[in-house]
Amino acid sequence: MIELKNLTKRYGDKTAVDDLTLHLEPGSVTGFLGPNGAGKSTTMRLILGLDAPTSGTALVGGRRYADLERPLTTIGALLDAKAVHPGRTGRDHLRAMARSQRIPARRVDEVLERTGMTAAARRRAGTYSLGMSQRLGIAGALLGDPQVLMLDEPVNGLDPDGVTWIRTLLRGLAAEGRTVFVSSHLMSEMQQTADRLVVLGKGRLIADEPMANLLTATGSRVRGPALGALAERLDGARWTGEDELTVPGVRPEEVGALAHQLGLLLHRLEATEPTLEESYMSLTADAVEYTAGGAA
Amino acid sequence: MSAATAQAAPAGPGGRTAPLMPAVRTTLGDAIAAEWIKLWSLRSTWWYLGGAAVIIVLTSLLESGDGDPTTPDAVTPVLGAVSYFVQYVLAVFGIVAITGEIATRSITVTMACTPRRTRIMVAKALVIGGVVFVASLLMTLGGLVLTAARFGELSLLDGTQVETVLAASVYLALLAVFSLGLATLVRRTAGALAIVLALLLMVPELLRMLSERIEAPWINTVGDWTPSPIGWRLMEGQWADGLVLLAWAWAAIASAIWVLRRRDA
Repeated sequence: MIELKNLTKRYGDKTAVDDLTLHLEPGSVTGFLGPNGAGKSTTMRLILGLDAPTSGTALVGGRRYADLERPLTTIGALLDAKAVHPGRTGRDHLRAMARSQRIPARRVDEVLERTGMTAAARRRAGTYSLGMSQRLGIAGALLGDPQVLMLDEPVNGLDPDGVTWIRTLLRGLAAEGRTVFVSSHLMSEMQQTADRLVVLGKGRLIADEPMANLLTATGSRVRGPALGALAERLDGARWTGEDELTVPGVRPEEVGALAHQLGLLLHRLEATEPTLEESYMSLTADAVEYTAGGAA
Repeated sequence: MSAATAQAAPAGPGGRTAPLMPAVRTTLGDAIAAEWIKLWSLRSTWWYLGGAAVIIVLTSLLESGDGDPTTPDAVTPVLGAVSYFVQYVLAVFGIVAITGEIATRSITVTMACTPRRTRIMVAKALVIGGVVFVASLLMTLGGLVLTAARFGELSLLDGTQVETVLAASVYLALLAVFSLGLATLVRRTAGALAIVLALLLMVPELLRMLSERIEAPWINTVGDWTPSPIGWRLMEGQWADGLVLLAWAWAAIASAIWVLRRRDA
């Protein structure tokens, strides 16, 4: 539903998006990850036609955004939750959006209800918290009942309830057969929400994989007074404490069997959960735009 | 996908078709309606128009005119004074119609809703121009009635005066549209207002002084065709000069469209 082909955007001599080719399919949540400044938001702006690509194309449902007759009924987007006139009520903001596409006015109240914004809808948007602004933005994205949803950092500013709500919403929308494209810098959140991950670094695609490929395999953590022999026999084992070894990719059953064979005393043996963090960090290590330290 | 669903809107693999929204074409009218909702859902709209009304009432009560108060000629200076004071308020009204969206970045939502940027600009120009024209008409008519009542001469409400009211409203509407277009180019409220003020207050006067100093009358002629002298002549019944004012507004909107279509949002 979203097709990017050799998409490139330069601002002056800075390349924000560099030759990005991507296909997003219906029925799944695609997570969009990358360090700050990697070009995630720019990519989304290019998809919406807000910025013009330097070269390449971005198509939604086979057409350029600018050629969509009623764009909100094809793709709903939330790029910047605070991009709302602070003097206008949330409801009026949505009413104007709806009217521009001949979306029936009753739909405004439906999406307000669905995002839990009914009570706040008649207040001016300038009084909203970031979390409420995010909900209003999501209401705007849902307005046209689109097949494609594209959300930039929707979890920002939401309380834990809100985070769970977004996760359920996005999973539900994908289950209905829609294409969901969502960026976040919260990896644990992505791990729970996305089926597939697209990782961007310095504007370039550095990974486009099913979630399962990027999760580290289940490993083991083992404690005991004298684990030296164990550490020697297990590839990748590393000391994570004075008497603690962490062994990625080796299940506790195997570690236990080996310890038994070696006649070692164990105080503790447990499985480590698969995480995204480790593979993400190694993928983006070379692509981090802003690193801590230095004169800055 | 079966042949039956292929006829309908594109279906996802979940068998869902895009329901709710039948295929309809959107028009300029839809963009105008959206701009209309946006305009009237801001309190500031009421402040600008209310402020303009207060200025008109005060001017109508205070400006004496320099002619014999029992003749219709007395009314023209009053209406002139009215438009002179109120034009700045309505110019800002035109300016913030776009800079208010640029400053709050809500312009990106407008552009996502209406990707055809020409349509956005034309809709804004028509809404701002139309609202300022109707509001000015009502307010200056009110001012005229107040003036007539003050002079105790209801005969002042004759055809000539109504024509002057009409001319003042045309001037104010075109000025607001011009300001809207200019503000789209400048992107900032303060910058756009500075240019509009300079154009209305300083440019004609500076050109006049310059033309006298270097004895080049054509420079003064250029000054005569800036918006505010045209406005005065419009109110004196020289309707043809209004075409030049229309050209000012058109040029501002046309450049705004040109820039809006090329600039990243």
